[in-house]
Amino acid sequence: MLWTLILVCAVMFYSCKREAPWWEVDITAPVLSGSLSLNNLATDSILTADADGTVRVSWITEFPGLSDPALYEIPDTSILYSYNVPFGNFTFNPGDFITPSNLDQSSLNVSTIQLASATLRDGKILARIQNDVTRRILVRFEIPGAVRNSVPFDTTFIVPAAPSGTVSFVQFATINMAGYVIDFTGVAGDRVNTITTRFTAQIDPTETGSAQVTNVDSVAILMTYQDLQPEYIRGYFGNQILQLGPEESTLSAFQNIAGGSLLLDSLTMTLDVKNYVGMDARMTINNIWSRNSINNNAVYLTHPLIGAPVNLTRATYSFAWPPVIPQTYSWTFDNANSNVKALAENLPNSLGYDIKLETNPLGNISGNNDFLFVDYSLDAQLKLDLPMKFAANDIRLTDTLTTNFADFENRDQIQKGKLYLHTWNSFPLNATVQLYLLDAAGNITDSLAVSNSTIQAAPSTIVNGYLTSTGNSNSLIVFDLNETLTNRLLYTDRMLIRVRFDSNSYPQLVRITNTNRIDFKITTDFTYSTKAE
Amino acid sequence: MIRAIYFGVTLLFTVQLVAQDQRAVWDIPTLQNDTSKYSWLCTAESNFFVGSASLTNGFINTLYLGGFIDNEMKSQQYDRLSEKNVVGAAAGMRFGGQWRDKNKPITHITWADRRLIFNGSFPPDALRLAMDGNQSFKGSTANADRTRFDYFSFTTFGYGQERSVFNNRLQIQWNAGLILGHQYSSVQLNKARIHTDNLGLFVDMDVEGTFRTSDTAAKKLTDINGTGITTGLRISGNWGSTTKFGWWAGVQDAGIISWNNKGYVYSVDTSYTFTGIILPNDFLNSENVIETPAADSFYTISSGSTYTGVLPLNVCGGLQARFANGWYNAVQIHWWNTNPEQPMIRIHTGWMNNAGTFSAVSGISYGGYAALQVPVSLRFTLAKKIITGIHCDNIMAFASTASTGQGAYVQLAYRF
Repeated sequence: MLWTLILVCAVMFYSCKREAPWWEVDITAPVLSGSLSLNNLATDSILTADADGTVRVSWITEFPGLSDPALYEIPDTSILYSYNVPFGNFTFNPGDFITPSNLDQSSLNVSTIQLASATLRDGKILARIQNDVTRRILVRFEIPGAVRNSVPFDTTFIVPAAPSGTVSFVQFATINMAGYVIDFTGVAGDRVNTITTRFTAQIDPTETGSAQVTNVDSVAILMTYQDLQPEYIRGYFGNQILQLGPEESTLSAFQNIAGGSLLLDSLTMTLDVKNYVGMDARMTINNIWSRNSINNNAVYLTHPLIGAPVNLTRATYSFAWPPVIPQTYSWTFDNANSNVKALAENLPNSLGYDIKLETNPLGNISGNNDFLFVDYSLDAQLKLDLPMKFAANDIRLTDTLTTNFADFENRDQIQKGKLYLHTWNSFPLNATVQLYLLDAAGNITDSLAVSNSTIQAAPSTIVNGYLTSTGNSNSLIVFDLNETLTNRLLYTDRMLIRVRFDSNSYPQLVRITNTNRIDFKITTDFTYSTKAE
Repeated sequence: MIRAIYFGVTLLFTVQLVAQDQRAVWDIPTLQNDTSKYSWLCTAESNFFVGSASLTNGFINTLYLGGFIDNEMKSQQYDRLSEKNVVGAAAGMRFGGQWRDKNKPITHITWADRRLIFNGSFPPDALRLAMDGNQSFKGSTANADRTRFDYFSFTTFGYGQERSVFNNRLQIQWNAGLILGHQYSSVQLNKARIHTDNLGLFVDMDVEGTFRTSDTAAKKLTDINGTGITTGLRISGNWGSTTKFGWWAGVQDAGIISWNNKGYVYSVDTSYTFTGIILPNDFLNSENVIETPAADSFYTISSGSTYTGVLPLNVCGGLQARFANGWYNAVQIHWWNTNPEQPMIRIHTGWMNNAGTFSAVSGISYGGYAALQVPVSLRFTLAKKIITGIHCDNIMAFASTASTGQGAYVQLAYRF
């Protein structure tokens, strides 16, 4: 503020000058500060603390494949309803019906399941109505088995007359089907995947004069059932084999680790499966594995569950909200019954799975009464529970930072300087920090090299067998920026930060508590030229 | 002849007055002591002055003309700094006229007197902060309390009279003028302290002050943002026969300008600790950061009220002795309310030819806005009707960048 006011005065005083004077000032300023704890580092995780303060990190990963749309998908279906007079030449007067009033039963393009009824969340019917009669007609279309708010589907189209005896009039319409409950069991209730309709046409009673209709004249309506999205379906879902995987999904917990060795004290992994579907199933987990893409090392889970089929009993209606009472299954993998610890020590960045799911292994024992609420499907979650007791050797974390120095319009006036990284570390871990400048393609173009870039581990002592910090250690890392490096830094768009962690006395296990963190502050001394480029 | 010498001496006195501290109405050739037959006198004058006892001419010239201010030049200024440092600058241009009638006072008219005045005072740390930054203050507090800068420009339209009493032994001159104010800006920091942590972890700022400005949308030369009045009075006397002695005393620029209500006042009264940008807890996963307080949150802006400022009042006086051989000696003192601690004292000697058509003056002065100065003046009368004067406030300014104070004054008068 003071400088601004003084500069204002200087500008005011010397406003008539032809050339600006310039000089260099040496500025000391704090830049930013923050605090790093496991809350920052263990992203997408749940942190809790044990009674002794040890941090426990939990990651939950969804198994994405179990809710297969094949269970409830209703493909688009087009059905043509058409009528021609049987023979000869007929005369129809206003109000006369051209078509008989019969119910039609047509099948939907559903092959994998036997659909008895569905409640639609969304969907529509695209109607194409053709009139060859030279009088205006009324076309009525009914779906007796489709009901919304207790009202059956019943709609009438007023179709203008054909222009001549040889030219048809064609009209299009779209009908919203959201909210309809549709019965697919036919007129007698003994069918599946069947849509029952009635289509009638008559000369508009308000028309004048009769119409001559021959057996080549037709009245037709093409109905396309499109994008029908059920929120609930009932029927028989068939005896299908659904193969889920093998696939690998990203595991965020170790995503930024580029290398190193990690020894864990313990790890617990829990697989929870909830069957919200009113259908029996048989699940076989062929494999679960972790993969480190840097060294392409995969560690496969060993446990009695692997390869052994598990029967999943069908859910039941709750007649409340939520509408389903699921069947729940849970399996725990720990040091005692599996090699799960080795999966994590692999420092994986992806988790793979290979699962086979067989629907209705015992056949149609429900009598077409399998059901599915689309929002309540077959869910599976994998939960990793890691008490933060470990030994780390050269664990390398890398991340890129996007810089926005371009917003600083006076950046050319910064000549040179120093960046100071002040840290107050209460982790029982050493950390070495390195910063690199990246070009647009992500290649390293320069580094902010320093002779001593180590953040010292906090003073520690062994408590119950684990090295536990007893205070803070202060460290100062100085990044010396000459004019060239300053310019490159201010014009870089991205930076790469590499941090190497080491626990003291590896493989001695350390314990991370909920009070451990690194407070840091970046300050700078820089030379600033008042001369604008 | 004697009258002509007296005329010249008086003129030179007033020349110095103008150059050092903005002009006064009596710094023009006056008909009072003019023994010629002419009754009318028209004048045109222009002057400038920049001076500071704490800032060298080399430094000020670089600030004005541009160029790089290196560490050596900065150090040169720092070595000169005292607890309170002043800087002053003025520039002006005036057109006027006067006439006389027998047995009546001489009438002075100022057609237009355009002036720009800058005045400032600052403690040493203010300059160090501005020129060096806060790095040299690590672990300490820069104290820029009582920093003040004022700038204003105005035009005066004046009327005055000059008469002799007591058988020409006492001359009385007065003037009054209407002022049209153009622009003003004023920075006043009653408190301005910046503490820089030894490790640079934080910077504490404790600032209390105001920045005033006239209507920022009316900054053309002809824009008028205020009105005011100004008065001046000068009394002089003389005695002796062979050696003439004289004295004078005066007050000039006793006036005010009332600026209109279209100006702005930025007020700041805050203590703030700057710790840099504080990253949120989820900064690794978020591009959002907690911004530092915006600059406009530190101050309040008000407008709609008028502001009245006083002109830089000058009180001055002097003694002189004139000898029959054309030589004369003088001493004078000037005091300004804008720089009350340091009046200026000047001693000079000069010579004028018998015809009174040429004079040369030189001496030394100390104080005011500058330190030691060596002024030089020359005056010619051409073809009896044209009077020209050239004055340099400090001839040392041409010789040494380490000198302080510089200014010039040129005058052209025509009598008929």
